[in-house]
Amino acid sequence: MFTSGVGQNRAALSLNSLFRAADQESPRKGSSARPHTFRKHIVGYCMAVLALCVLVPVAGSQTPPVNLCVFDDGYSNMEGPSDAIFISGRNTNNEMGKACIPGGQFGHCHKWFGRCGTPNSVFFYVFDDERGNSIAGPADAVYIPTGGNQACIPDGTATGSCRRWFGQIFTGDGRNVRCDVFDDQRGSTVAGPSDAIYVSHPIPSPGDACIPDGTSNGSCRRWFGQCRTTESTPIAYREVITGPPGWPSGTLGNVMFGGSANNVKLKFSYVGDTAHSVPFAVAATPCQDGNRCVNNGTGFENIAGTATIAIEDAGSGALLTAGNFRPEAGVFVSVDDGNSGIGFGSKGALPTDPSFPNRGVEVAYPYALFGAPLTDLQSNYTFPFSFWAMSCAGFSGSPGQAGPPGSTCNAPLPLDTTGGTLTIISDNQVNPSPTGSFSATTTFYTLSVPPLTPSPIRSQATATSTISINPFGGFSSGQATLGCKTVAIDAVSGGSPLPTCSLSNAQIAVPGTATLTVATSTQTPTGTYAVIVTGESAGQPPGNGAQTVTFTVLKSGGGIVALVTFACLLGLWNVARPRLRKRLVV
Amino acid sequence: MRLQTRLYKFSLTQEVTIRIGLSVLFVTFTHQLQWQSLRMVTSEAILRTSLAMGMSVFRVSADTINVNGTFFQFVTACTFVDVFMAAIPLVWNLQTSAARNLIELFALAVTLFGLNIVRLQTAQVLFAHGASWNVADQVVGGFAYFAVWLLVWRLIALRLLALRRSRDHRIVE
Repeated sequence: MFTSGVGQNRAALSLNSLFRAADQESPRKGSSARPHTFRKHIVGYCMAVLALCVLVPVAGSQTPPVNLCVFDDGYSNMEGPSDAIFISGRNTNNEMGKACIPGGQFGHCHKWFGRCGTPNSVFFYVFDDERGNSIAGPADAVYIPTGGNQACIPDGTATGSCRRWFGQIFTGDGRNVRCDVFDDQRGSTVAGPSDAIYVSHPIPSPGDACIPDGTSNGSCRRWFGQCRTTESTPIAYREVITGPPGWPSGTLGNVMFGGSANNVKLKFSYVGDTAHSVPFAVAATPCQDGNRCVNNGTGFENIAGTATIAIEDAGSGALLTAGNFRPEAGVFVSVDDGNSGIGFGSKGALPTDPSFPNRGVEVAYPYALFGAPLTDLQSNYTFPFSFWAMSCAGFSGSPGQAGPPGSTCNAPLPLDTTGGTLTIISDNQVNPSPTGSFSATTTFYTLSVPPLTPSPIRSQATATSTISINPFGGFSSGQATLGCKTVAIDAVSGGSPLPTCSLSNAQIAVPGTATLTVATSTQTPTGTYAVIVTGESAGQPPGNGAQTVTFTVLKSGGGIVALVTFACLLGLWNVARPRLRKRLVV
Repeated sequence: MRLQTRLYKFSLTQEVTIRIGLSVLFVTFTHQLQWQSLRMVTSEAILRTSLAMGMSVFRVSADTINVNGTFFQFVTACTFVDVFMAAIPLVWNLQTSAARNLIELFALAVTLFGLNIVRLQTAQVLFAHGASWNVADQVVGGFAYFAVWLLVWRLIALRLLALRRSRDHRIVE
């Protein structure tokens, strides 16, 4: 029975064997092949080559493949990489439950499957049917117990953490991975991709791997593999915070907002791609007196994008100031489906990073919302109104400077932006609390404002930047309206009078370009300024929000006035010289 | 030597035209280079003299300092290297050796550096006392250019005078 299983797999094995060293162990190695065997061998290789001709262009048009390795305890005897693995159901040689890659007559089997090496790290979660609270991981190695229907990852115990499914795979650089299941011939037997796989109980001799398909058993095939990162679709996230009088409150650069200064709306924007929305799982601390009582944190985070903040007057909607978060701020978007939280965090890190989740990562600072419907942050999403929005440094337990007496949050964390440093006062004790909305869309446009040239800008000079607008996901509106504004960040006398800004076209086509010009006068104080460019098209702001570019104004020498002065003096001297000479002669 | 012979074939007007043309070329070439070291040395000199005069000064970058809260960037024009380069064709004496010319140019460079520091520091003092940057830097700069012109003119006039005396001496003989 097992032999017939291997026979069924010859095409798949030969496909992989093309990439393998010729010295791979095989019972037939060295034996003289009979003519008909040789013919079959040749035919097999030709078919494999043909299959490659078909498969390679398809694979080339997709996302990068992620191959796996098999190994024994301690990553010893590692073999691979391979794009196909089967879980052996064979009792011979204690192979039951082992992960096997093509090679030799029965494949090369080892206890674990997972990552091949540090540069090609790959991580797995294990979970039960409902996912949610059952998720454990991530880990870069998985083994299947002999009974099947379980997948286990190391957790320091003898058996590890075992759940029914393994999946929610992501790479070391934070990209989601999906895998297929397929039979020996691949082709029409391929099912998937899927982010969850389980192995049947008992494990069939030839091997077995199943993915969900809406039925009770799912789609089961012999192999799993052909893993690849998910399609990278650009996506824009947006969060708007409003509040009771005085909230939200803080400072951005020189601008104070909230409190007694004014009532404002905070508008956060983030542009990334769906491939980088990776899963996380955090076991909640047991509930004790004084501790927060929360569910296990399971959800998704996207840390590989760029984020901005814009602050508008709550009444008039006038833009007060804005900034692009600098990379050091580590602003990211996350959703905790276990606790219905969603929002913008800072100091983001992948689930495999030592600072995750409570040794540096801030999930509710600058702002998070609660009561959010489930999402994976990979598709369009709208959460139009949260009853509760909160800014709280240290919410996830990350260390920090103690907050004011009575607050359970740390002191506000300064986050660097191109519009100056942002600090937001914690409002977890505010009643009524601020509220907010959150949305994600794959149909949007972005505004791009490169740094001004020349930079720095001298007094009485101009600098320019070519603004561009680019649509994504089929966004089409024809035209966009642009605006600009300058603000002082760190300038003498508050930067008054400010440099001026202008646009070559206030209305431009989408996609299109316009020229931004910033001008300084002799009166412009030296220092650091920012120019903020806003856009509006079809009633939508840019997916990446208002764009802010920092520039410096300096005094420097040289200039037309010096030359004019010199020319005047030269002229006077030329006129006076003959008279002086005549006087000397007399 | 050949150049010397050839230039003697030109009239005085033609020679002056050639020298001025070369000056323009030299200045154009000068502004194609960054002169980063010289800009830093100049800014350091102003930083130290400003400190000595009791001003609040700190360095911002290799070519930028902050004096009393205002940022000043030292561009190529602030070093007077363009003025020096423009002066080279004007003061180069074809009747003396290259070595002697180089010694004279070195003396001119030192003089111009000193003059430049004086004019830049004057600008700082005037600006600190409320003068506009146009007056403090550029008008003073214009006067400094004129001062250099007078210096160059004096050198040329002295050389022409020496040439005439030498010619008169030969005629008498």
